[in-house]
Amino acid sequence: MPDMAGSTRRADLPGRLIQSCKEGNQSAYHQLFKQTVDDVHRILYRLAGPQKDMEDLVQQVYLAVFGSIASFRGESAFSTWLFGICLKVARKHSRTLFRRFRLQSKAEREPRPAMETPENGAARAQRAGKVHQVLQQLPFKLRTVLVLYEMEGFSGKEIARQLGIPEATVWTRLHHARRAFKRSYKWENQVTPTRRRAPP
Amino acid sequence: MGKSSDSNQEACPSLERVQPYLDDLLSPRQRTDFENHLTSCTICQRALAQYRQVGTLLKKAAAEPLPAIDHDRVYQGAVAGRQPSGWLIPAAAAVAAALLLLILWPEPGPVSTYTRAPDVIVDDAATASPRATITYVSADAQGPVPVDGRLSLPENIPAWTGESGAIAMRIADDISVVLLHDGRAVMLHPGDLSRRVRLTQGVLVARLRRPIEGRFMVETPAGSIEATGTTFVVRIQKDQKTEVWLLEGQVRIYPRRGISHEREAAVYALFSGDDLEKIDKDVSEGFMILAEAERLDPFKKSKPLGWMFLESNPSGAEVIHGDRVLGRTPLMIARPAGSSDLLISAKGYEPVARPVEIRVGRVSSYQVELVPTSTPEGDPLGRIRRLLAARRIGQAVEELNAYLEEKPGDVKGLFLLADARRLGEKPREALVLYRKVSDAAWDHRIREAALYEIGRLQLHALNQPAEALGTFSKLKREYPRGLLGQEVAYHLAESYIATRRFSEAVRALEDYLERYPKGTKAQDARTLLDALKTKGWR
Repeated sequence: MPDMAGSTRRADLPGRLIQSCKEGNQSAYHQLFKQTVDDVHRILYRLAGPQKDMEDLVQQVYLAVFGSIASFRGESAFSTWLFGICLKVARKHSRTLFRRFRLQSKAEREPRPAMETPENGAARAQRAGKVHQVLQQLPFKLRTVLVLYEMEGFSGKEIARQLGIPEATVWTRLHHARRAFKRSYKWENQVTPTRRRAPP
Repeated sequence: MGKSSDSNQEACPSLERVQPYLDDLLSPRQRTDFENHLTSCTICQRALAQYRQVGTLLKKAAAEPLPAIDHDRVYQGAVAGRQPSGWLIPAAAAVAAALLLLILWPEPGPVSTYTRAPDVIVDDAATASPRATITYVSADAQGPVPVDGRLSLPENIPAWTGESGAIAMRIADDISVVLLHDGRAVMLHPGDLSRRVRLTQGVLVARLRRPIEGRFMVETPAGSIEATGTTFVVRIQKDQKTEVWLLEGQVRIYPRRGISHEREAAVYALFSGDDLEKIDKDVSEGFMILAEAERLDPFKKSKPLGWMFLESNPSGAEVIHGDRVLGRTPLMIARPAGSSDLLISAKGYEPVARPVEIRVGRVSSYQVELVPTSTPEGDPLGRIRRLLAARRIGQAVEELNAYLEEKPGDVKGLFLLADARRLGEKPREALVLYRKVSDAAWDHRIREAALYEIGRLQLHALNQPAEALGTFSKLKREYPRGLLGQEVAYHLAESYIATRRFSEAVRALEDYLERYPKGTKAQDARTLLDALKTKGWR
């Protein structure tokens, strides 16, 4: 999805391909899938967190895409349209109670993150897991903005355009989100930020 | 920016500027002022460092590789229109309320099912390289899709069958393949005249009618088998070793790491990645498998049949031929070749008669647009319900407001307005309206439905599990035999979980499973119950 990734952004899909999809051309569907699936997977992973049913989530996006591409009028970029579908799927998923329950159980079961210093792969993965866990505890609106800004590398203006909200709202949500993340993240085992020495 | 509420920190009036500073949102003057302030304020210094670390943590987490997903499976499922499994199946929880509303005010609802073709053989399977043309697919198989008017298996798309299902296909004019016994295979196209199939599990029966131009290879986890004018059966064992029954002609076996072996019929061979492990003259099992595949022989002429793919808007309409219901849209079904008249019918919509023309061995696709039946006189809410069904929320709300101005306090109107608010993702407004309905309704079914919606909103949309628990307990108490009893019992258990009253959740789930062992949520209830019991809750 072109506009969806910081460093991995690609150009939007050619209109010809989208037109072929609208005409029901199966190989065009496959082409569209191949060109966008990595972006869809990544954005869902970041918005919905690590999920056993991630394949189902991605599949649900493409069920919606293939089912409604005929109604895509091209008034916005295809990537924006696709991103909107990802958002809806992730939002719906984040509402399910089972996830909350599973998250609670997982939080109780899992040990706290290891010290940051020897930056081994396992520790990194564990810390990333913890980050995703905290992200999932944030309200969806806040999480979306935080993910898009900090993980996907969007600017405030781009986020506002993608979400259809004023830019000021983006900043407000981002600041609330950071604050909530900071509050929820278990900092005690992390390296504490160095204090600047006050001038004499 | 909202109130500053950094915990465990003494208030500093400049704390609110930390994030705007970080995001470069301050004017040059404000920035200079804040930087001056920062040199002397440890509270703001600490906050800034922590906010920076939030960004660093998230960026590092973003750099971690994603867990792999099976793209083929996802694509295949999406193209076939399969519903994903698990908790994402659209609003199963809302089904009960919808049911009740249907009873009160009949309304068409979209049903998303995909019917696979029944067990039939289709002839005229001319091949279109590099795809495989499907000649038979059992109801439980997955993979084939309509391509250019034929049911085909495109290259690199996996096909798989159930335990007793099968897929038969022609991958070239003279090569046929039948996949059996939980078989899973992918067609590969090496780019020349060769044909290649990768079999990863199950059984594959291959027949070559005559020597072919190019090569035909079957790849397996243990190596590959090359055939030249022959009939053979390949089976993958659980330990990934490969069995081959060569029934006619010649094959060459290439173990992945060993030397190749040429064999002539009739012979049985077992090989691993390293070498041949067993050679036997007894090929009786191979002939039995071949006999099973023969009835699906893709070269065999059969009744002139074709495929029909019928979609309707909305989906879920019944497709009727004569006095027989063929299925519901979207429908993929094998039909006798020729013309026939079908009737497409959905509740609340005008039935449509549609002549269809089925061509032998081809997929004929049809789309039908259903038109809502005209609103009967004296039922002004009918149009509004249809607007809601079409998710035209704004227009529905406008018309409801006008309706309620004329009939203030009308319970049905209020209920619809509450539904509109809920569908428009305004749960608090919906909650207030459902409360009004539950207070005013004299019809116990409407009151039960309103209370149920209140509970669902509290539990899922408003994150008020304690209140939801109260609502569902009340529903259970007041309507022990209510129409929504099953859903209430399940949501009650969910509410206990959400309020961390796990022992009571266990009892509620057991109660649900005892009363509704085949209920719509039985599988979910079992999963939750297992999870709770694993954690020691009894």
